[in-house]
Parts: sequence; C-alpha cells; structure tokens
Amino acid sequence: MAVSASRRRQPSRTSGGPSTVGGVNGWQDDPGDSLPPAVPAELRPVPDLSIAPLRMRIDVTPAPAAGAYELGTPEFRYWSAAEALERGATFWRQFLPEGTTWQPGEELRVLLDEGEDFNAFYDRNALNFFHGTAGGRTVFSGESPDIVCHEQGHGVLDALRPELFDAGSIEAAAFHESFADICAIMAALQLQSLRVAILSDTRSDLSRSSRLSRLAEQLGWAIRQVSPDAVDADCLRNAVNSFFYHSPEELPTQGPAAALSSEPHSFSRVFTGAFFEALAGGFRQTATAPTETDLQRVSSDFARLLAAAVQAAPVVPEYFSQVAAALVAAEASNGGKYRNVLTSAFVRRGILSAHAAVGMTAVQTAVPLAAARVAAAVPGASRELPHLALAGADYGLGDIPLLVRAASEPRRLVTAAAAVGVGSVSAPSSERAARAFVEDLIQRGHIDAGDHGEIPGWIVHPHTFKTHRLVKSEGGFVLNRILFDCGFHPHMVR
Amino acid sequence: MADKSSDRKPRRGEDRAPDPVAERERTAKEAFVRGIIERGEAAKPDRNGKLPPGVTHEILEEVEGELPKIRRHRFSLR
Repeated sequence: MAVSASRRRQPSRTSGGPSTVGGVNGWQDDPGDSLPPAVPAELRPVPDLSIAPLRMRIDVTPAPAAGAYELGTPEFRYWSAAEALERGATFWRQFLPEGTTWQPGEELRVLLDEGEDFNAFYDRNALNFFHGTAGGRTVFSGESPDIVCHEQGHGVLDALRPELFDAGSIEAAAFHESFADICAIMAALQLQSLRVAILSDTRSDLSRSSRLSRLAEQLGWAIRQVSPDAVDADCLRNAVNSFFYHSPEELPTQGPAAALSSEPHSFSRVFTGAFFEALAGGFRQTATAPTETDLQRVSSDFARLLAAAVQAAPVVPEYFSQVAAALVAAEASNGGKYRNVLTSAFVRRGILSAHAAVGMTAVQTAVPLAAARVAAAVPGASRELPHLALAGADYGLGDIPLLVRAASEPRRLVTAAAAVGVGSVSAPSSERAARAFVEDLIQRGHIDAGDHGEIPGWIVHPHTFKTHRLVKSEGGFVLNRILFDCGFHPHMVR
Repeated sequence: MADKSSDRKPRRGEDRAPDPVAERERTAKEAFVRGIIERGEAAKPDRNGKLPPGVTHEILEEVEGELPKIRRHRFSLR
C-alpha cells in the first residue's frame, strides 16, 4: 500500500487528545454495498500482529500510527485490515497443534494494494490484495474483513495441511476455498457486536441468509457491475445455499454463480453450505433461547472440530466426504453433542451418502449390521401399490426390513432422464427407484422415526420438516407418508 | 507379422486388472488439470517470473497430446 504524504490523514480522535491511542476503526465483516455504509465502522482495540504462532506483518513503510482514521484513507484500510487479521489469527491460534507455523515461515506478509484487480490471493509468500473501480466506485479487497480473513484462512489451512496446496484434485482445491470462507465466517463471529446484530437480523435463526452467511458484499457488488452472473445477487458467495453434491468430474468446468460447476470456488459452496447448516443447527440446539455467548462457544466448538478433521482426513479425490466423516468422528470422540446436526447436514447435501452415514453411525455405536432379511410384502388394499422390502441394515434398522410402496406398475411410456454428459439414464427398477426415493427422504431428513427414535443407526435430522413416518408392523418398518409438503417453513430446514 | 509381445511373459505389474483407486485418482487429477486449462488459470511466467492476474498455476512442461504439467502458485479469492 502506498501511503502518500498528500493523502495521509490524522486520526479522527484529534482535538489535542492524549498521545495514547484509544483504538482503531474497523468493519464488522465487510464495508457492504451501500453508500453510506449500512453498518458503520466501529472502534476496536489496537491490534498486535506480532504474536506467534501466526505472526503477520503488513508491508507498509512506515506503518501509520495507530488511530481511528477517516473512512476511505489508506490509514483506515491499514488498521481495518490489521484488526481483522489479528482477530482471525487469535481465533485459529488456539486450535493449531504446537509448533505450527505459516508455510512461508514464522511471519506472513500482507500486501494491501498490489494494483488493479477485483481479487485477492494467497501464494505462500504473502496475502495479496488489490483495488478496482466499477460503477463509479473504487473498492479495495484488503479493506473487507471477509476477504482478509478468507485469504488468511488459506494460510491457516496451508499451515495445517500443506499437502493440499498443490493436490491435483478438484475437491481438495474446492475445500481450500470452503475452509477460507469458513474462516471469514468464524472470524466475524468473534465480534460481539456482529453476533448481537446477526441474532437480531435473523431472529436467532442462523440458517437464514444474513451478513454472516454472505461473503464480501462490496466486492461482489463491484464484480456484478462488470460481470452480472459471475457472483451471487447480493454478495460474492453465500454460505446459505442449496447446492447438492455431484461428482465434480461430471460437472461443467465453469458456469454462472447460480449453477454448480467444478470450478473450485463454485464447488466449494457445497461444503460451506453443509458446514454452515450444521453450525446453525448446533447453535439452535444449545438452549431454548440461545444467546450471542452461546454462538461464540459453538463457533469455537466447530472450528476445533474442523481443525481436527482436516488433519485426520486423507487427501483423496473424494475429499469432501473424507473431511465430513472425520468431522463426525472427531465429534463422536468429543462427546457427540453435534453428531446429529453434522451428520444431517452432510447427508442432506449428499456429501455423505446415507449408506456411508449409517455405516459410520453403526460402527461408532458398535451395532452389528446383520444381513438383510427379505420379508414378504404386507398385504394392502387393492388400489395400493405393493410393499417392497428393502434391507433395513442399509438405513440403520438392523435386520428389520423397511417396507416401501414400490412404483411397480407396468410402464406405458418408454422414457428416461438425461444423463450428465452423453446419453440417458436407464430406467431404474422398482427396487432401485424405491431405494433412491428412501435415500432422498433420509438425506433431506423428511422421515419421522416417531416412537422408534432410539434406533441405533438411524440418522436423526433434528430440524427438518417431516413428510413420512416409520410405523412398526409384523413384517418390518413401514414407511408411511404423513403429508405432502408444498410450503415454506421459516423455522425448518427444507 | 505376429505380435511377439503377446507371447512373452507379462512383466511385473502388467496385465493386471486396473487398480480402481489409482484409476479414480488419475481421472480426478485429469479433470482438475483440464478445468484449470479450460478456465485459463495456468500460464507460463513472464520475463520477471510473474504470473498474469487471475492465473493460479504455472505451466511447467507441455507435451503434445497430453495435458501440461502444472504447479500451483497461489489461491485466489474468485
């Protein structure tokens, strides 16, 4: 950052005050896209970037004196960035194994304005930020705590798991982006003022889109002026999304923000969305009326689990599922209070298959998976479809079959869905269709286990709307529909 | 001419069923590199050793008919 003498400003705490500095100005999470800013900058304690591990240095000589500078000045941007960097480093320092350092060494450099671009990057040398002009406004990526903490997050993950930096894997690259976005969210949650504001804005329902879930609103606005479909409608990326896992090798390599592609930032939204959903669920279950203090505690719990998971998960092509499984396993060894919300979120996003999640649960609870027993169909009324017995073990029901109404009437039209890539999907058998249907319900958490909620392997989705119920019969568990869901449920995850 | 190579004993590692894990890793890596090339995120450095804006990977080696060898230099915001 070039701090020219002509543009240098004095701290706004002037009027001949004492030489001791009262603090610096900083944004909560982002300058935002409105002018004047909807959320004003706040006075914060003077940050100290010299604490190890995770020591940092903003590459400006001389560094401006600490103070609460006017908005729009280089000095304001310097201290706003420094405050965000310190907040992120202080938060993650507590979860790192002893001896962890940045990949570049003990100290990580920060370059606040490296020229013109709507971007920022981490390159094992420094965190690099830029400025760009659009719509008559110049925005500095290094001014946004969201962006600063995102780039810092790359550095943190690189310190924890350097193998990921150059891994030739879409999922590993996408996870790097997801982890960085999660770092931005976690750093924001360390500010009491933001926690209070978010709980007020969302009526304590974190699963709603909010300033917390929306990353980099200001830069997103600027990019939208020049490339309308490249970013979300109200930010760069949003952790509250509904993207579902699809093998990235089968996705287009790029696409508009509204669609999922294998481009790492795009694909990262699947994992970020699941993690944020679990975080929201974890917060919701802490108390009847959870407070901002609960929110801070839950953020620490989830960050600790994530740090453990990325160290445990092997770097393989299916990295998302490996990290998800490691998160659930880490949580199981930590008391298991978030197990359901984590499993639910990852199953609902398809990151963990229902089978995989059931297997994990079964192993953890030491319930042997007996061979499936094929039961005779339960006789039904003449106009009803016959029951098909599915292996209960696949759904955590042990050796008790799951009886599902099978779509097994004769086909009158030959039709098929389009496959990704070339050709069409073969028409599934009745059993395959039933299995797909049940798995879909389980993934979305729409089955109420009712009085049988203590089934050891059953995946409990505590905050989802239920359309089906398990009813015990002589032949096994019967899957009965309760209702057709056509509405929006503001307090439920759909 | 008969293909004598088919008469010889398979060397160590030959004629085995493909390792599905290795195959999956190879496919995943190819898709990764192909995506980077298609999006223009790989380039050779300029005379000063710098990569152009928006580029995340350096092209290390190009062989005709194959995907280039690349190495990551940076993670970018978008």
